[in-house]
Amino acid sequence: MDLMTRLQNVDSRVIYVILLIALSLPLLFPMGIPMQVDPMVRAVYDIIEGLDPETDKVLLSIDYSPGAGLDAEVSPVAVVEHLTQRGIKWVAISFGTPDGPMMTNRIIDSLEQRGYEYGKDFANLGYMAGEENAIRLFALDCLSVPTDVRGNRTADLPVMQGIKNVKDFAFVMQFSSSGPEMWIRQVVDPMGVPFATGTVTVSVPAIIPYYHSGQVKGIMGGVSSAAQYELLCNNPGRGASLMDAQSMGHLIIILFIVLGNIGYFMTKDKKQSAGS
Amino acid sequence: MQISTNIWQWISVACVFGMWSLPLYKDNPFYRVCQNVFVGSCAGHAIGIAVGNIVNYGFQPLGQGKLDLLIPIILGLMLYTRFFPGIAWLSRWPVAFLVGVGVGQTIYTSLRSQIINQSIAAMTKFPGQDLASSLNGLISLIGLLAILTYFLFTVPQSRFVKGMSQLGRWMMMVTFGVGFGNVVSGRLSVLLGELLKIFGDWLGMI
Amino acid sequence: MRKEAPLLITFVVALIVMLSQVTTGNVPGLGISMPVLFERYISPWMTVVSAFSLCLASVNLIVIHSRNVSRKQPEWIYSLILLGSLVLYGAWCTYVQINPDNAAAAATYSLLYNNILSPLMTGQWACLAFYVASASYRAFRARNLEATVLLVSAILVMLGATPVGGVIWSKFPVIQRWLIDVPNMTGQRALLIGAAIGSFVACLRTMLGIERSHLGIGGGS
Repeated sequence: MDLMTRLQNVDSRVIYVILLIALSLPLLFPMGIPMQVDPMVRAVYDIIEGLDPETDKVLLSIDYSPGAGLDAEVSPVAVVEHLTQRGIKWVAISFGTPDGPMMTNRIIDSLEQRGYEYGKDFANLGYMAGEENAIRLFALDCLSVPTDVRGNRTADLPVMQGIKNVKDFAFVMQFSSSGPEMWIRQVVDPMGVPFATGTVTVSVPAIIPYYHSGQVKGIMGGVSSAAQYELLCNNPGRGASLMDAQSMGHLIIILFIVLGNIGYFMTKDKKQSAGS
Repeated sequence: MQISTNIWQWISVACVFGMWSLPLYKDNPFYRVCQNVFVGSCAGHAIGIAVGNIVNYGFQPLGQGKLDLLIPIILGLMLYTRFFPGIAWLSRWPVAFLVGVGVGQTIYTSLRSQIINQSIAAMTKFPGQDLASSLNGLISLIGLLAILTYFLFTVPQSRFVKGMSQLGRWMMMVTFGVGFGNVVSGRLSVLLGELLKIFGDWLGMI
Repeated sequence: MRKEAPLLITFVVALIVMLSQVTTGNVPGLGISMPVLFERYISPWMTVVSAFSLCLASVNLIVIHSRNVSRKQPEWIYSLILLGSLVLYGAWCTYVQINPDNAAAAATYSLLYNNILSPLMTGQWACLAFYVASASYRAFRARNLEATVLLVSAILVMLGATPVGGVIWSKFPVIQRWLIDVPNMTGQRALLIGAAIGSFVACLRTMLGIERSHLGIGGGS
């Protein structure tokens, strides 16, 4: 068996181990490659910079599960850090997955450890079943959620004072592992609420039409967007620490594609010449 | 390097390795255990959250005098009649209700938000503010029509229609290519997140 | 009754929900408007029924795996493990949901969730990166011109999406941005419009009772 045929039949596990090594090295020995900030990410940053901490409150819809990993998790962390830096109060709720409240709790735990106050600075209203219907019900009447995840009456929470429907929030942002269609259909178009979305990298291409139509004001797509956001906030975190390894991962996948194609064409040529 | 002494950290990493043992090694009992714990715990979590919602949005308001909520509670219970063959047909009623609400929510809003508003957005980008944006607007508009033409199966395939269809195919190939690029990026990010936890939180190397 | 009632429920409920988005006046004879009818009744009812439906898959799992265990079918031990973890998480999560002010129970559940369920789920999804790498090597071939277009645009996007692309050539991020904003946006918009038309038609068929497969009573025409 010649080299090309052997390359074509290499064990998958060899590929996996090469990938693991290629990703691990830059994590252990970061290079600090400079990044450029995407306009869609800057748009989210600019919206939050434009909010007034005295009067404006933000609604976060946390609709991802742990399966989406850091690709979904770093964006809300970066945005919440920004909101916290600016002293803007926020409320989180979940419609897309029963895992949402646990994801919110992770963010809240870190804030509480730093002395921020639950109920006053932020709150977690938990999961409401029914997806699109629940989004509309909550949008029409935010107090339709009777209690938060800690059993407090929603109407009694200081952060919820003055909030009756979704229009009372200055900005709504959804973090999910899919698209924002339901929010656009039920809230953005009929109510005209400023809306942005944070999603996993995989879902970004499908959301682009909504960004260009103005239905979505900004998009944060996965780790790279979170890293750019951290850069804008001058607060490098987990997103930024992954970018070198992300670069290496992309290069190694491109190398796999190139090698695979070289092998394919070489063996194809041989087969053709053997056939003729 | 400072390996974590937190037992939960070790359990967490063992779970990740358990799942990775399938691609990196082969099907094995440890993977099977992890897989079944995963499915069971997800289902259990869903039950807990569902019960919380049923109590919060059903029984509590019912206890406060919202008697109309008896209807969805009965409908909800009827969903489970599908496990009893003699009365399984009763589960159609709540399904009909769920589907009815879903259909009602989508039928008008998808027309407005996804068909009309997106079509308007496609048409208003041309002409743009400068040559480049006008060109991009034109590409978008023609490309959109070309792809929609590709999906028209009920019109005669004239040379024009065929040409547009071919252009539509090219546009879709670029779209799928962009999609694949993002899939690679996204999947790598999830793996990287786990590696960050292994090297950072568990091994203390970062 | 068995067939007609569900079709009638779907039609009436869909009509109310749809009209609640476009009308404001009172329904003659009812003295209540469609939006109020939706907000006060249909929508809260939907939340409750949806919550009941969340357990449906879990109950199905319990039925199937209990049968495996009771009949000692091959590999029943795994079914037992599944049932054990389901009961543990189900019971604990239910307790936390019903007693939300018990901080200690919630904290312990968080430990279970964050250190077992969460890494299992992420670990499972992370495996996809391995498969993507393998697919890139084995299946991503420039077999013809269209496949080559797909391959080249994927590579350009991969190069432009990370900082290293900009270091190799400063135009890679610009090209990536253009590919996403123009051809990709066009393609996605066309697919989106096509899917929305399909969804609209499917909804209309369901509402009018032409499509009945969701009720398990055969699909009309």
